[in-house]
Amino acid sequence: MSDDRKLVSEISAGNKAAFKDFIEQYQKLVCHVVFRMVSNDTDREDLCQDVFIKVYQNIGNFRFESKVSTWVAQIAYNSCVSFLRKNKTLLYDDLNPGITTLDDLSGNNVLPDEYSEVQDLSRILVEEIDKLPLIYGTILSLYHLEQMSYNEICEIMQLPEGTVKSYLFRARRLLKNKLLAKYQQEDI
Amino acid sequence: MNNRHLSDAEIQNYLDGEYKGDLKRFKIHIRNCEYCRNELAKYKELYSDLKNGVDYERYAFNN
Repeated sequence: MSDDRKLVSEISAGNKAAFKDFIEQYQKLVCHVVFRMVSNDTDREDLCQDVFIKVYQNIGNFRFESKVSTWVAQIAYNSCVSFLRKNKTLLYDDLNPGITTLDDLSGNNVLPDEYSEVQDLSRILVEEIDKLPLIYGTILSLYHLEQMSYNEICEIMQLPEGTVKSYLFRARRLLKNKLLAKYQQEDI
Repeated sequence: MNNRHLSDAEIQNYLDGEYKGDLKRFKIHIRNCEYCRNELAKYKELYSDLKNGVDYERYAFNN
């Protein structure tokens, strides 16, 4: 029996220690989805808890038709989508002014020597990802941080492969151009 | 390919391991074209930052 099957079987049998192990194993994945999609700290915490409550309530019905990670990420994604819909937040906000031009980079008053190079890069990258439509950032996290395949991402987000690829491509091109423009500006 | 620069899509597909064109020609072009070599380097750096994401995560949790 695989580790995942053993863990799921033990949780279904009511083993609380096994569920604790499960949370430890998958909390990073859940955080990657929730943190990308929701900005408020309290909401993030509530959503992460909700995800694991849903996992616990439904794990008895899990039939291993997908990977456990895909199933968990799908629950996290769907929970966030429901939350955002209630709050009327746009998932596909292509009109976000932050992503359309390079000109809006002007007016950034952060001096390069305020941060170490690594922290600066990290901060800039996070800021730029935050300006992307939520769905772009989520796909970036699943693909690059979680190293998921297109198939897994399609299953989690219920999107066609062409759409996932297109969003991923556009997100990376925007980030590359934005980071480049930012560094060129700081070099001046 | 030799008469034009590589597109963003071609470079990203290459880094994703999904480049469908002639890989040998791709590499020759990269060797001979400084612009495309720089573009590839920028994407490589971005991919690395996105993959590592260590500081991003720390930032996210402390934000």
